Amino acid sequence: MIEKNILEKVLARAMATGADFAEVFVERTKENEIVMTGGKLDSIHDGLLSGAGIRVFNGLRSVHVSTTDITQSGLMACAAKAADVIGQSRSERMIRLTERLNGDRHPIKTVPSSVSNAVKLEIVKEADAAARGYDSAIAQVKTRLMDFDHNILIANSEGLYTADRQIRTRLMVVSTASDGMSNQQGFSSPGRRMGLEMFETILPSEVGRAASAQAMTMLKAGYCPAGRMAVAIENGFGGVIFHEACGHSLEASSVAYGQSEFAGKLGLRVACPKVTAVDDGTIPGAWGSVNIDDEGTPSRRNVLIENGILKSYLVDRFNGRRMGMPSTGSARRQSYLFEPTSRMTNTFLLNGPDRNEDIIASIEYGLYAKSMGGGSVNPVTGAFNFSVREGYLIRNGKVCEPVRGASLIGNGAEVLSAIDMVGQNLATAQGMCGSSSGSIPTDVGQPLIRVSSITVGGR
Amino acid sequence: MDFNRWKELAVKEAKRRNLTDYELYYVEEEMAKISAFREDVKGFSSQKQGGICLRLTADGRTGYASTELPDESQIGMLFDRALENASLFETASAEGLRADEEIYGEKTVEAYDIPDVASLTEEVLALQKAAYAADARVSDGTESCVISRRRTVRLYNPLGLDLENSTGYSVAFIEALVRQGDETNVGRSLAVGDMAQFDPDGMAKEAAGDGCAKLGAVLVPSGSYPVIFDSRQMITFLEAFSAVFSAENAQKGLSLLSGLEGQQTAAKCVTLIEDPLCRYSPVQTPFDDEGTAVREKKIIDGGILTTLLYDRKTAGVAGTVSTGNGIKGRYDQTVSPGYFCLYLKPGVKSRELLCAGIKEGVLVNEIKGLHAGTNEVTGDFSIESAGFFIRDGKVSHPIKSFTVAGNFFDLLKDILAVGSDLHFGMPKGASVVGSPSVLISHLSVAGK
Repeated sequence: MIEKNILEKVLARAMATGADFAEVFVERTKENEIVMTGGKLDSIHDGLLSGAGIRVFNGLRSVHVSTTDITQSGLMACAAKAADVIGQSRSERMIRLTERLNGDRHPIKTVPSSVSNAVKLEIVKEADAAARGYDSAIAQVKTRLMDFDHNILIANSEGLYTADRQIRTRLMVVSTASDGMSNQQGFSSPGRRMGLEMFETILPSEVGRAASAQAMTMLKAGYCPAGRMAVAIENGFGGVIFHEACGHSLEASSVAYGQSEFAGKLGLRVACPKVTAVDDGTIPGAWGSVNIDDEGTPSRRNVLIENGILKSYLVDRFNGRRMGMPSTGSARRQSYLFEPTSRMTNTFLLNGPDRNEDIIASIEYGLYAKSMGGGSVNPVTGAFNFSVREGYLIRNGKVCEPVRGASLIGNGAEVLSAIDMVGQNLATAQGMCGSSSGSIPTDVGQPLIRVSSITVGGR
Repeated sequence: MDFNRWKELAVKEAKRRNLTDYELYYVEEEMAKISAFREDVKGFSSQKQGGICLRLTADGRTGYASTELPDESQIGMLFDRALENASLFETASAEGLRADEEIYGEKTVEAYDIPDVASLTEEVLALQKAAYAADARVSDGTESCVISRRRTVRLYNPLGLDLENSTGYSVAFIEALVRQGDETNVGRSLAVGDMAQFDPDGMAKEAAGDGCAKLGAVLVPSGSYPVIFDSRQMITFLEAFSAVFSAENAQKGLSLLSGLEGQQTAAKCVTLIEDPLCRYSPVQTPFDDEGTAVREKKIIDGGILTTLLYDRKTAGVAGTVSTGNGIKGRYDQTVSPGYFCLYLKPGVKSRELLCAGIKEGVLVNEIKGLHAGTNEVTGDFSIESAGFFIRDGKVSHPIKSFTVAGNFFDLLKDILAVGSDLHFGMPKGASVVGSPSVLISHLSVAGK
């Protein structure tokens, strides 16, 4: 996108007042979204994001300045602004950039941005028709097909000059079932770091039917009773429990400032020995995968917790300075507007020793959370909250009637140590994770697990 | 490339293609953010962002395309893409261009410039210093932050519409980490508006006081209680459920308020106002994102739903006129109905007086993860909360880790009183919400 020799000058300008590190991140992203509601095309969002972010460090201070003006003069002005804030001294640096090419683990067969919206509309129609045709009580269906062609270029004062092209596709169906008195919703939203070939294995009609099936189940459900109980959390998006309850607290952006309950606990037991958790940005085609992180560090598989022992945090370059730790390839940002920080990619619990049927059978009275909604956490206290999208009561070791309106609340460290059974059907699901560096695609996942006791909010 | 150059290029391109029905929407935004950790500046960031969105109608059908790349070669592509996108619609759109025939209201709040880096630094360090000075239990991990934003919107169409609006304000907040023994808590305070008017000592006392008051919190027995949401929590709550007032959601069967205009949908003490020129709004605008002049409206008046929020498209479908609520979440999004300044009309009772009649109840002053625990379509909510137990009309002790669950539509009817302490939250884009504390007759609380 931008020539090496221009970026060498920009980096030198950014360091001219005494910064000890400078970085330029240039982005060009084509975004496309087709939305269908009530069986009719509702809107098409078709945009191009373009801009650059320049970051400089001086010890433990960082300055980030972004701009949409990516001409040489625009970038030089942006670099000068960053330099003015970071220091007052004068220094002259020669920057020599050397290009690095990264292997691509994610070959794309059909690049979505090269396909007309008329073709993509057919995919949306297929999912939409299947969702609407599922049951006469399905009152409304909203179907969205999104694709992103995200091109990034990173250069820094250590001589790095590298690029990545990240293509993602996601189909989301939200079905609303109504009995005239109340509404209930069902969701299905698979996404991949793939092109339109993702629909060779994930049929749009199946996505539509799954959303409507969930809405119908919940329409018939009564309210979930409240209280402390054992909870079996199903695979796939159930992994949001680990993402929220522990993942965020392992990010250097919390740990480096002593704001995490896991700070200072490396090498210590934080979970039962059945629990092993990894963050792996290298999985081919997975929604949260990247060849390189947003600082240009190759992505990798990080074992966070191994057999219950805390093994690693998620570290970016800046917060790593404060912690005295190298980057784990975990720096991410939504776009050039945001300063990158440590984030998750694809984060999941590995399969454990327990048979899934034994997990359900072990619960005399509790909740089976078949499908989880989103959640949030305060990394300082570890307090988290997430909603159960599709839940059922368990009585005498058997899954019984569906219940609506449940949420799980607790504390990260507590719930992690309360995971006492880990099943064997590991699967992942897709989400958008929001934090200080914006909204980024992440996978969550786990097999069926049992949490021995947790507060269930209901009524 | 500035807006006037985009305009010249678009006029030329439209003429070449024989198009007369188009509109340019342009946003230029600047943001500066500074944060402090311990007694030093932790980071500074500044954003400059601008983009242009073309909306055009061809054969009666409307399409959009947008770009941030300030390059003259983009104009042809914008028209190509918007035309292709328009061609995919099977039916004609109900919207059309608005001519400049409106009388626009006067703004009363100044659009502040972004302060220079030295002033921002001074302010954030003053906040941080005051936070540590406010209480000995304020510890490392405490963070102060100042964010200043300025935003200019331009709107042009060939029917003579050529509008411009700028807003600018600062936000300061303190998140005070208080530590006592093994226990940590975060207390918060927030100020919005003109940075010169902020009071670091007052804010620090509020944040430290909030954090310390929550120390020693216990679990609350589960049950049904009268609940007071303080104004900050009620603001967050209204933000989460604001979409139920959108005519678009109603028309799509996604709002349970659909068809209830003229009916009692809330308690008599509830009056909900949308007023983009409200004197408390730091993001005042005289026109909406379609160029329609805005006006004050009571969405709920004494408990009766009087109107939903309409843009030109939904008004066309309903056979009515726009309420001046066409809004884009981002410059590159399509227009849909939304609010600029939404607030609950204050009552006469202070928060203490709201507590006075309660034998056993719950005051909620912290809620989390609202996006996860609420559903605007069903109205159901189940939210992680913290706050205080109320006994015999007085705040008695802090309580933590409980959920408050109910249904928004029931809650509106179950409001017993609206407090007098109207506050406004942090603006999000072009929108801001305000509310006083609110007393609800009963909600389900799950603790121990």
